Amino acid sequence: MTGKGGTGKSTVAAALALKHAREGKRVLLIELGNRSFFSTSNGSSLANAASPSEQVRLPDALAGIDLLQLAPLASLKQFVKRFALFETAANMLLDSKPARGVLNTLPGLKELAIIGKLTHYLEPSDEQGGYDLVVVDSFSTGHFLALLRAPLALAESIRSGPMGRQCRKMIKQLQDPTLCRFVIVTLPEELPLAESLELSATLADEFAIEVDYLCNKTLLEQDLIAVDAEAADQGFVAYLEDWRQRQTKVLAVLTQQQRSVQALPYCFEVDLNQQIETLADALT
Amino acid sequence: MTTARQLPSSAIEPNMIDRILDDYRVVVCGGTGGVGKTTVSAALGIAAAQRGKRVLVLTVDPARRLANALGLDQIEHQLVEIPTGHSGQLWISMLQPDRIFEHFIDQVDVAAVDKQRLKQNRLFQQLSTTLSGSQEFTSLMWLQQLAASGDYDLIILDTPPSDHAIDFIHAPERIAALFEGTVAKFFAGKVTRLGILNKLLVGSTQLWLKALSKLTGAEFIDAVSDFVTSIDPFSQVISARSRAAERLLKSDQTAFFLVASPDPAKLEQGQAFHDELQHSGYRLQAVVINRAYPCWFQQSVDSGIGSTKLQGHMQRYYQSRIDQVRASPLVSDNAIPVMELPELVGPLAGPDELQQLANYLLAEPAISAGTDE
Repeated sequence: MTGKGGTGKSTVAAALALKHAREGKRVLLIELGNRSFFSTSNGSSLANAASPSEQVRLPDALAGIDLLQLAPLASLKQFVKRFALFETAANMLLDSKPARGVLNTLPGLKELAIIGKLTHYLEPSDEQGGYDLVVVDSFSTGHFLALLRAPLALAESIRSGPMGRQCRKMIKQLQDPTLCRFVIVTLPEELPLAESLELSATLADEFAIEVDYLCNKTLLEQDLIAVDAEAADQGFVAYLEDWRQRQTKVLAVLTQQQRSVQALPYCFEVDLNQQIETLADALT
Repeated sequence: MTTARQLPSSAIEPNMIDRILDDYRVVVCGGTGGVGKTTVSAALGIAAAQRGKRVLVLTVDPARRLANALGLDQIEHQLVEIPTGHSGQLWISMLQPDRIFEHFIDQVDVAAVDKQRLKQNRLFQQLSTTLSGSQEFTSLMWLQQLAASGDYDLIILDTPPSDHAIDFIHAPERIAALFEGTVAKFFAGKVTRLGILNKLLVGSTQLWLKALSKLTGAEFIDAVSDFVTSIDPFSQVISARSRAAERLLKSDQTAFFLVASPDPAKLEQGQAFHDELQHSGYRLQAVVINRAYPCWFQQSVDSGIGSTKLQGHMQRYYQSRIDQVRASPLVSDNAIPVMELPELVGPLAGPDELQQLANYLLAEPAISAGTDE
């Protein structure tokens, strides 16, 4: 899952995970970055600060979802351990201060490590916990592209050696529509729409990846037209009319993309837990 | 804009935005992606022009949003003067994110042959545009250069989009480290790259390099080695410029604004941003809660109308969000003025909407705090 910042990507990702967990699937929700969406005060009832690189179970209403917060640096360490040919080589890299400095600053390596971890879940082996579905609450647009470009760039510069081989394999896995689905979360607003279309064009051009769309925070057509313009607050009427026009246009444009598009309802609940449940109910 | 707010609120304090625009030479607008930093930066620019300033707004704007809002097709690198109808003057300049780092390399004072070599390096070509932190780094370099020119009373920097506001502060360090730090020291030197690499690989103290080579393959090490050798000539100018930029950001001429959306996770990140800025010696001077409530909200609360069930739902929803904002530590615990801006009707902020926001910024009372120095 990706999308412009502020579109509700994390909430929608959690809702998608919940929907599948309710269906009895083993679901892992992965958050990228150093801070968990669920460790903020509004979500503290959901999970106590997920410790980096360790799965935690989400309690209560979100039971059935395992949560993994994937911090870039921790991913890099795992990546080194996984691909170093000898245990001693890995330890040498991780224990040496200059080596850590090099690993830390080399462009693209952390991104590569994250993609490496994510594609590891696509391996046929069961060592990752046997999840039926892994939902990745990924970075927003710009950083997301940087993430995907890392293995592509390295595969192009390195034709031989284990690193180049790994990169080419990762790209193949990401491009396989039977393994991976890419979803852009957007809003019924002009700017998020423009950014979504630009992103999907780039993904198609550079990676041959097709995306689906979830349009978050939409209002029902019946609500949008049910206002009696005579009696109502004129400011509100103008606001809804503007909303209706935007929403109609955005959904029409998304539908033209010939991919799966679903409109998700605006949740008038402040509680995060409830929002996630409402969205999970709505997802098809 | 003198309507007294009837929302339940903490003690109303005077708005300090006008004073900040008058007293500082640089305003940095930070915040996570999607909160409307660019819009707020542009509105601040108009507000400053309204106060008679010669003001420049710098932005990295992949969506070309600012250009659209101001009725322009494109603004690329060069400065464009925007007519505002006010006594001051407003310029806008927009960096293109895809060429941003190359643009910086073109500008620095380093021999052309060295620039050519770096630009031809495969890793640089493929990674410079996506290198995380390169937008932050470049916009900071650019800010420092323009501030040193003395051509403007005030420069407003709209920070590049990021997942966390604080990324802006740390990104330049990371880039500077790449150019001057560990990597170069351990790979490079000015001898031929294969020579030094072989020496390193056979040296018994450099076992870790052998391990790295095993991990990545010799070809990768070779590419990296060429990369770090190519960036070596840039290290001095980059570290000098980084230090100058850091001094500028920490000086008493620079004020930070945090732009946030009214949702709890963003407010919490805002508090972390506040703490980190304070801890590192920067000055956070104002918080702007953008799109805090829809344009019809205040009037409907004042008059007690809720003409439909939907409006009633929305009214309660926005009211509880406002309550949440006001109860958050960011608003209630810190001695910083907090402004709430309404969400205006209209898909894209145009010049009129930006002027309207500028009026709010100058005239609305802050909802909390504000030190009285």
